[in-house]
Amino acid sequence: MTGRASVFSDDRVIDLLTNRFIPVADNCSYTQRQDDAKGEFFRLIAEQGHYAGRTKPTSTRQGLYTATADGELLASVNTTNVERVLKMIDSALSKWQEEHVEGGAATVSVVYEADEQYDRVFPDGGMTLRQTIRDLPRVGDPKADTARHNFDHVWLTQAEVQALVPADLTLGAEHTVPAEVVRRIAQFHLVDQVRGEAPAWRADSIQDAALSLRVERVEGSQVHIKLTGHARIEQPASGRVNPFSGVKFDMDRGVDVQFTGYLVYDSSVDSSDDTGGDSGAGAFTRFDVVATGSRWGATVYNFRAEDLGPAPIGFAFELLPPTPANLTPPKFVLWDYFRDS
Amino acid sequence: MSVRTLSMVGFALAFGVTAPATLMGQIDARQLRDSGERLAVMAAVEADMATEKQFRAVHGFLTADKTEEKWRQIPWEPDLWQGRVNAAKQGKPLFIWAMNGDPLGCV
Repeated sequence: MTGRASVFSDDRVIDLLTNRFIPVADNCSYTQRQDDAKGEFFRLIAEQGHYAGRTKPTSTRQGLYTATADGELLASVNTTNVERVLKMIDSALSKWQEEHVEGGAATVSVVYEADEQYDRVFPDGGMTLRQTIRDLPRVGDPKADTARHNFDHVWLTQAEVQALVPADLTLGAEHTVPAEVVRRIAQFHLVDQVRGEAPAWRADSIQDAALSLRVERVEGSQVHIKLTGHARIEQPASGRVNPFSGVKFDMDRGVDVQFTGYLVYDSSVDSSDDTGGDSGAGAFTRFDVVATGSRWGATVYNFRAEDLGPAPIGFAFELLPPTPANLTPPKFVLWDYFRDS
Repeated sequence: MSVRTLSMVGFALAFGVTAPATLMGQIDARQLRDSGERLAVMAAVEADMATEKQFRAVHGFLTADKTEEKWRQIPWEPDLWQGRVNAAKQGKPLFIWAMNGDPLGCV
């Protein structure tokens, strides 16, 4: 995630990628494995690049690649150093200029048979939220880093969105968020990913979790709803050890957070508008939620070994229009994410 | 006054309006703005975000600001295959940001 700030926020890189390339951001955990045309295309490029043939310490093919639509590698690198990236881009454009600018482009079929194992399709009529995860300021430690952050997306089905709409519009009327939605948010979205990746919780690690909705006021077609709740998750170390580094995969870890949120449901918004919940008439037009509290423990890739806590953390959620980039799948969508579907 | 509140007062003394001039000179405008925001966030969390204003302070702190969102100015195509189709149609090379995890989401 460091590359977002160090490389892709650089004006020179933004200009080059916007004007000279087709910039693609995709998950190589899937593309290097999936058994379909997309996977084959990625592997064709990656096996000409910086990690070609690598199996240790991992078989990752992470990095930055430039290639033709035919799958010929122009240049590649795996770095978060912007000057090295610019050098790679310069090399790629020189090769492109010399060998391909006059050449005919490949003809590529739009449709291919996707590997179902890696199929990650946004649910029809569903809603997507962007999640931002960040450390909160620490009392007594004004220099504690709060700059690092990470993102994820929450997906809700059409039926789940509808279940969040209060049937009783009486002021103060309360109803609970369905257990499946609470389970999904707790298990997959209350994970400390601030500094790096961590695995989702096991479902049985959720000690206690509940969310409720209260009608605050009704203004014409708009219903203003306050969300409150809590979650506590504790999980003992798995005992797994990385076979290459010998590092423990995880330690005892957990989170304990309180939820607060402000939602607006507008029954006059057309389902085709750029809002969440494409479920016929009506949609949520605001879905701002935070969960704040403490986290503790560490996993092999989340860089908390020197900062075991407990320490304050925050999870923020907000509504997004369903553009292709905003429909990036939740990190754990291929796990037990949609149980009822 | 709780221990946490006392600590917050100490934080304010260190970085707030009563800081000595020599210390103030070492702190740039960004740090000052951040320190004020941090104080507001800590106070809001301590108060369990009892008001919507406090909630907004915490939500705004957690979500990315314009500087942190700059990388999204690049018109990223989130699907490699669609990117390949676009590259063929437009006669441009591909730039592929490949990560273990979705670069536009959680990595």
